[in-house]
Amino acid sequence: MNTEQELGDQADTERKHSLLAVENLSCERSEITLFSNLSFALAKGESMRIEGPNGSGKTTLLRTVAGIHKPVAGHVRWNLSEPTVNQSADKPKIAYIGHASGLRGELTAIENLQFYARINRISSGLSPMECLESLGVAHCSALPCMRLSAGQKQRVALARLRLNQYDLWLLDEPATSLDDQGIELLQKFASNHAESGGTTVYCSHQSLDFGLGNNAEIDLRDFQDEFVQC
Amino acid sequence: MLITIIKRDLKCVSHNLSDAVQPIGFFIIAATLFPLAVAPDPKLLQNIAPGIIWVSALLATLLALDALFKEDFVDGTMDQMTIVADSLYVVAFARIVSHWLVSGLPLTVICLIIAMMLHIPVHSMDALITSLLLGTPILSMVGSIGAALTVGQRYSGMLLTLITLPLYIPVLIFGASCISADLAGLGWAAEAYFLSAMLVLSITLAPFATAAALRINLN
Repeated sequence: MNTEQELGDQADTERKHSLLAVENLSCERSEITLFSNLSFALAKGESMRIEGPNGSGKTTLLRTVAGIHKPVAGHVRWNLSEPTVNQSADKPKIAYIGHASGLRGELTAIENLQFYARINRISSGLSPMECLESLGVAHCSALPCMRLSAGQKQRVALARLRLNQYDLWLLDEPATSLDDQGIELLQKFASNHAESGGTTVYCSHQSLDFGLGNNAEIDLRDFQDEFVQC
Repeated sequence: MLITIIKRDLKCVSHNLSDAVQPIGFFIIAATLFPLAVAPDPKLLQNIAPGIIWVSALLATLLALDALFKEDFVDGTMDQMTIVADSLYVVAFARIVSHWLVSGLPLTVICLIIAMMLHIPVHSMDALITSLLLGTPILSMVGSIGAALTVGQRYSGMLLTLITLPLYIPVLIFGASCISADLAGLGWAAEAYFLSAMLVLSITLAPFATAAALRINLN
């Protein structure tokens, strides 16, 4: 089994500039190994799509890169620094959009975003209200998030991406419950993000066009040891 | 970060008062039912008052404990805070402080009225307040470890109670005996020192244990 995927051929030259390098990563959930010996590297401005059937570990991979989940083996390196426990000083600014929205139901949309703006210690970027406007949910800003529809909630969650100049976007099914216009907005922002040198790793069952063409893909089925049941 | 999380928690509380006053409501109800059930004899009530107050306070704290980290886990806020925070210590500490601000602190204030009802003389109020001010933060600190350990479980209430109650016993004993000692006309400094020592110990160690338990449950 090859340990370097897709980008692996150019790895040596590209790794010098890579923002993110995943090396021999193995993850398990509930004591079932999802994938092992997974390696890839991504430079600034690149995006990568993770593929795989349900239960193949797409979410786990994204959460591992984000530093939420701890891998069984392997490292996630930033800017080719030493292996870190995800706490190194040169860790890039990461935005993670997961299945759970990260929005507190009692708080209004704007209060939720203000909270994230504060804990992220934002210096540049849009104000929370401008973020909501850019995703077309400014009119819901004063509503408690539990009153919002699933699509509106997803838009508010995505508005978090606009709070700051993040180096890395980790998007887990970002198009869930979005309408066509919402998906278009997402694609537009993702291409802008790539143009300004941002990296994106995402998984989606819908095909999304995140611009710039250099879309890498990785299929988690290639890294399974044996048949894994979901 | 610490202050931001606490502010957010207080904002959540202000939006959702009915849930937040639950522990305080429980405390008032439990403590007022005793004089009705037991004979309304001032001497008797005064004797059992420290026990009533401390048992009610302990159970009231336990009531709010289950939700301490659960919402943050369910709605994904914990994931987001994990990415941003340098360590989960800050997150754990902030949640503990918020828990105490909505349970321990108002409980201490309301206790003044409850104490009147239980015929605790005014000159014993300082012992009462000291014991609660020193004791209730320990309950929040120690309880947070149990709450963090059981956050992944769906029906964690019983398990949480089993884990935390044994650890609460020393606080209960010293807290109640602090008041009893004063009522009996003895000095209560020893009990207060013991509570202070336990408080220092729990502030130093509990957030670390809580952060570690949260980390386990994130996987």
